[in-house]
Amino acid sequence: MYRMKIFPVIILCAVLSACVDQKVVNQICLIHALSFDTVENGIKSAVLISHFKELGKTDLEVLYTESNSNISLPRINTLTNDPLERGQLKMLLFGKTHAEKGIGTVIHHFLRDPKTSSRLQLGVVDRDASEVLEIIPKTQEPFFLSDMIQQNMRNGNLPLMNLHQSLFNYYGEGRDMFLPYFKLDHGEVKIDGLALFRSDQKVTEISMKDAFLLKMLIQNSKNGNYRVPVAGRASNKQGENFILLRSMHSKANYIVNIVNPIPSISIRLKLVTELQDVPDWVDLRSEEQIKQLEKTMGSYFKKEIEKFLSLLKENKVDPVGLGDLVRSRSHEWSAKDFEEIYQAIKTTVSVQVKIANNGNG
Amino acid sequence: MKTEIKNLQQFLKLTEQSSDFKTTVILLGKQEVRIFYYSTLIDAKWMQQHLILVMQNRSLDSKIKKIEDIKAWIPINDIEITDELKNIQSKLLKGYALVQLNENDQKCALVNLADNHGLRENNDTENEFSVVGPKIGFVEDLDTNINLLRTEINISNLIIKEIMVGTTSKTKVVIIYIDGVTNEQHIKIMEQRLTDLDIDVVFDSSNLAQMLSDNSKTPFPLFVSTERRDRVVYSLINGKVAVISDGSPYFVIGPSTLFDFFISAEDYYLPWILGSFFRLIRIFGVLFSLFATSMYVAITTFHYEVIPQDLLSPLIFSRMNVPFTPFFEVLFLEITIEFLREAGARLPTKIGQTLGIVGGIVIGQAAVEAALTSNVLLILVSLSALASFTTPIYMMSNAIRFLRFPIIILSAVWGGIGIFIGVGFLFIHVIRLKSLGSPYAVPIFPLRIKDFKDSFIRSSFQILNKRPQYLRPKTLIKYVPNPVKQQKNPLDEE
Repeated sequence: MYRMKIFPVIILCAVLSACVDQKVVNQICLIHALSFDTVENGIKSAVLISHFKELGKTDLEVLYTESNSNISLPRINTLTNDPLERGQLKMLLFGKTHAEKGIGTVIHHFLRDPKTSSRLQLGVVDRDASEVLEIIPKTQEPFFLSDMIQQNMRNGNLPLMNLHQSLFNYYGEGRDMFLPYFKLDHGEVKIDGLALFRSDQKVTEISMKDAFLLKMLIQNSKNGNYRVPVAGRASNKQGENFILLRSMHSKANYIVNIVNPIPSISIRLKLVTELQDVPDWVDLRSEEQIKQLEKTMGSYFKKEIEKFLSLLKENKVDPVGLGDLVRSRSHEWSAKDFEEIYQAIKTTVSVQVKIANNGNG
Repeated sequence: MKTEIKNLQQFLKLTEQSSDFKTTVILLGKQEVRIFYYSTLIDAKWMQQHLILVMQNRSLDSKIKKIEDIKAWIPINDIEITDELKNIQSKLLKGYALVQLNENDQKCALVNLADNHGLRENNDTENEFSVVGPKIGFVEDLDTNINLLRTEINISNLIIKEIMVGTTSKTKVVIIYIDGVTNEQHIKIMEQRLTDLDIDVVFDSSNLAQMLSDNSKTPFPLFVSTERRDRVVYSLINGKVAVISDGSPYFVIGPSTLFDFFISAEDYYLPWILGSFFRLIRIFGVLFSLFATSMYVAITTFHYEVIPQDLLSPLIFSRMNVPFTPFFEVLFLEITIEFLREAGARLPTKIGQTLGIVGGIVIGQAAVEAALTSNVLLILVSLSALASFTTPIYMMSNAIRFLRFPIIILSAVWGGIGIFIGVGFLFIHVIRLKSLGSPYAVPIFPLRIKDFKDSFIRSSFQILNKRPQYLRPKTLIKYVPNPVKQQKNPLDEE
């Protein structure tokens, strides 16, 4: 009886698991980055593909196609000798005009594709996205852009972002999506802050400085850098009245004081920093002066964050997720109603800065 | 047609047809004494010195009257007076000499003159080597083996039961256990299976292990077979049953679990932390050896998206000029390695070394240069072959090397899902297995938390003072641990 049962099981395993096409790793053409731009008669998409010919050297190539559908891989397939595969796709770029029109359909497409990595990086370029892709083959690194974003998230001001996070921000109620914003500068590509979205449309962009404030508000801002002006003795040199600090640890605490009718939220931030650049008139050995510095830095951060929050309210975007916060505290909540009162909600900020390390001295 | 043998004379006439069956007639005074023996089985020098010369010397001053006198005369311990035909028949075949006073006597004396030359006293444990600890292994002689065991287990509870197995070979097979420790059920099952066994020749204990096993349709060995004395002793004191046949240096131990096969005697000679670490390494080696190459097949044929981005370039580059699919590439290399192993095992040691160099370096390097395989795979295959040799019991490492192939085929057909199907069937199979009626996958299934202390890891001897539960021993506690008391050093001043 046992033997009679085992054969149907094996056959069922074969049938149910279906037959997947073989994709032998050296007989496919891997796409590492994709870009979407709006042109007159539809969408121009460019793909970055790689040819591995020598060890440690990768030949990269950019292929273009224009069509009026969103994802036009079949058209690009007619340009290559091996089938295009996007399992190793790590970067999606949107041109400025395309991002302003809306990127929801593209995101939804990649959400449904099981081969897509959830650590896929998305980005917006200040002009045509394909122009950025054209720069990449020179570097010979197929994952240049995604690596750049990742290292800036680890060691810089960018908050944690990837497809998974962006989907949460995009589909989550009471929060909005933000993506890294690329700029072309003298033929070099650089990250120039964040692009803020309302639903799937880009509304505005913020600088790397403000990106640090956002990072501090939503997560631990470890390794982010920020420049704080300090008023002190008059100095002749311009750059001397600034302190460059590196965040070692930060934590944001949100308290919803009033929910109805207009929410009031108080935000308490704790920031532990390490001083990088200090004007020479500051005596780091004096505890008094350190205390004074902590205070001025705290009040400066408070001012800046308030300014940042009012910028968000002005543009009606909510990357911090204040709407989600209020939703979690209220019985009834609707995204539509909140949108109307969003500009009116009160936020009070208090920042506590601690200087933990100021170098050998 | 078998003729009925009625008396000794008839029997002797029959056996005289065999050319090595000799008859010596010596004259003691006027009496003719006949000695019958198989010349190939006895020690001729021994017979000359201790039987013939002694009898001739004694016959000068006294006369032999009846057969019982021989017992008093001859300075050999093992002498039996009998007229039982069956006994005589079997004893003659074991190297006894038959002494007959008169031609028509039915009663005769059987003198043990068995030739023990050519047998080793003891054996270096070459196949189950350990760096630390004794290197005493068993030999092809049963008495020596039991002697070796008795010197280590110095209690009268050690019971040795003899059973004749083999219709042609009439091999002496013994069951060894410790009375009052081993569960009687295990002993009974083993005894029952041995007595029920119907076979013509027992060549080795490993034959027995196959025939005694609960399930003959499995690649896994269900009994540990070992040539190490310390392993047998440890198993016996834990309450297991050991079986050995005469002429085999391997003990068969049951009931065994899957994890028994990854235990090396060395684990107990090293500190428990190191012992546990090495045991875990061995188990990891098994998993690596089972799944490394099939993972390679699955990933390179189906799941390219899971390759880490830094590994992408080296992997694609190494496979670039290989014309085969990963499956045939793996099969080619795996079979090459199996050829090497098989050839190495059959060749004399000195040629075997040369073969290792030819196989390992030349074939491997040439295959890569000829673009038959990729570098990455060469490393994976040789590592998994290496990992499979870390298993201390040879039978088990064979089973693991065999099981690689079905999993590779599954991974080539269904990719990662195929590997999971393979693992699933493997699990079901292992869980269903039994060794001497006790579950094979213990302590994982059925779950025996207390037996984990000597499975994946080797706990300290403080904790290992109880016998494993799954063996259901009659006495649970082996010894009461007495931790070392920290004594004040009189030289230390306060």
